Amino acid sequence: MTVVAAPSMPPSPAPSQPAGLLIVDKPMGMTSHDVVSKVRRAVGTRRVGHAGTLDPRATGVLICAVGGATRLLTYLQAEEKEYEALIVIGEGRLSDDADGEVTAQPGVAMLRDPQRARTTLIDAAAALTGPIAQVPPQVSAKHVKGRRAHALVRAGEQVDLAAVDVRVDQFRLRSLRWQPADEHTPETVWAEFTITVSAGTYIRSLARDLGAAVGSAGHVRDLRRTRAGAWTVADAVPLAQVVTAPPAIIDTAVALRRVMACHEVDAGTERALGHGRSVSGPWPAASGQPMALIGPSGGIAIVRREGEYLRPVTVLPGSGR
Amino acid sequence: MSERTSVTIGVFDGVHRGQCALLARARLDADRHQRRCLAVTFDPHPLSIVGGGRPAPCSLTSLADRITLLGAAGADEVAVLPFTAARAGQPAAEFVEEYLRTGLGMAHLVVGHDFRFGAGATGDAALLARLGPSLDFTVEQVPPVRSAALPAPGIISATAIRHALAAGEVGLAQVLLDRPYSLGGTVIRGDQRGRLLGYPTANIDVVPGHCWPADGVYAVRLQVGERSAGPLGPLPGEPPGMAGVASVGANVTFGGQERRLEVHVLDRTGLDLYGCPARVDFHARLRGMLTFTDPAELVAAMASDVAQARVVLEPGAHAT
Repeated sequence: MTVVAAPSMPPSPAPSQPAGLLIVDKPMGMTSHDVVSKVRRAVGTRRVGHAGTLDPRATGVLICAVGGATRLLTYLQAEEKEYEALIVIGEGRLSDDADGEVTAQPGVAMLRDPQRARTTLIDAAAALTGPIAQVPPQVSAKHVKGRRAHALVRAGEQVDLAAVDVRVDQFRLRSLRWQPADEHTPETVWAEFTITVSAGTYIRSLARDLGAAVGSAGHVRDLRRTRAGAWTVADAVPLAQVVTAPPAIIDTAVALRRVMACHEVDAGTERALGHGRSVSGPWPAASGQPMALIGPSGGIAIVRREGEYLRPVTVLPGSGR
Repeated sequence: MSERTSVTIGVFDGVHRGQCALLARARLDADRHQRRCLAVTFDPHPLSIVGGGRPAPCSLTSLADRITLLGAAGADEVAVLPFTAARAGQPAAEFVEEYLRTGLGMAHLVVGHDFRFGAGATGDAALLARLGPSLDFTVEQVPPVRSAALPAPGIISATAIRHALAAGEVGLAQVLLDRPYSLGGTVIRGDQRGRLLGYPTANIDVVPGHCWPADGVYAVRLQVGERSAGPLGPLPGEPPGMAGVASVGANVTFGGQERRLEVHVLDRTGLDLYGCPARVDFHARLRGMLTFTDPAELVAAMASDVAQARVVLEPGAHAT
């Protein structure tokens, strides 16, 4: 999957490699992997990864990890995400977003009455709120019979994807308007929503299902991720700025403090963790919840509690040895 | 049955300070009663239907920008009502009961000092006050917001802003809007004449239907988006746009006819902006449109425009 252009910048003369998180505001029309390539060039290291892919049309918060922090992406990525979505009711698309070819134009005759249109949409969105079983979009990276669903769809095959259990915490109407017909499209309804979902939830599927629920079809026109876990657009740096100016990388330890319990440990404990040994400590932890132990030289160990011991599951060495 | 709401209603073109006062009152009521704050607006402009054949006034904001600005001013939700002849002919009381009360669950309505609605514009605050008790909603009429920058009585209105723009007074428009007036569009290829004179410009193909400031030269900031992205929003992005000088009007020195918006960006060369969405924020008027007898005079005037724009836009910087 990764074919990487060699960094165009010479290696940084600084002795330490950059490491930490870079929260990027992804522009429209670019894949999440394109963003990673640009970040690689900007920070001068190939060790860059991202969490939570955004579709090419989508904009907003993309969590990128740089250097050693890439090994912590599992822990730094967000369980909960928030989006602003403009959903078009009245037209279905193969990809469930504006990039796909039109598959149905049932129109919005059923929403013609403005006083009922709003309540109809609010009720339909409410029915899609909570724990739901969601069928992923046909055009998605889900695997079917060992192949990517989007590859099968492109080859003309009908794909039957299994429903996935996801959670929609918020699906609130923000604006509602009628878009007049033009030569290609009948009249449609454009509805903006604020949507908060668990990881793995497809907004495109929500748009498709919302359209179907009101007796029409639907797809996502604009999508902006405004929050991924602890990180919001206020933390995000526009990609153009990442490319032109040295980006402000959030220190790994600072980033970890925003997402999990972190505790300082002494040099001896740091060394033991660095050798992969379990340590003991007074800190309580919910079972299965990871916590981070940070040593005086910057070594970081992600640990899980096993009885009275804390077992390191991922260790990043510090600078002091 | 959906939840009850605090509602304000109007055309809200521009989303200026006077209209924001309505949003603020509706927001306050919504917070006090833990209700949703809803802004109801119309599209197209009602005067395009009931204006007696005269064209509707030019718009200060696109519909998409209006929705964004209303949200920023406090609305949880914006409902855009298609304004049709049928809607224009609907009796005022019926509109209140069917749409606002039943459709939106209105519990409280905030209206402006001059709000009229329904067939024959018979709906007003007095009618709303009579309907309120039986339909179980309350009404609040907000007094006009005034600005000392306007001649007496100084009431802030979309019309006052249109007049300010028509007079080139973009500074006044900024005071009334609480943000610079802006025009959005796409950067297109122009005559490339500015480049030969040492002042390359970005030509902006402005979305039709919007109010233009009077012909002249302005100190502006230019916001440019990604080529593949949609129109730029009305809210200032980070970092602030690039400082520039804009020329509005036909390029009279070179015999131009059609009205144009061209922006020269200060201190930047080799910008490739063709096809990018752009927004021009008007900060100050520098001079009117002049016809120069030869290009050398024009170049001298442009040098002076750039120096003035620098003073307006970068007050901290000193001339060299």
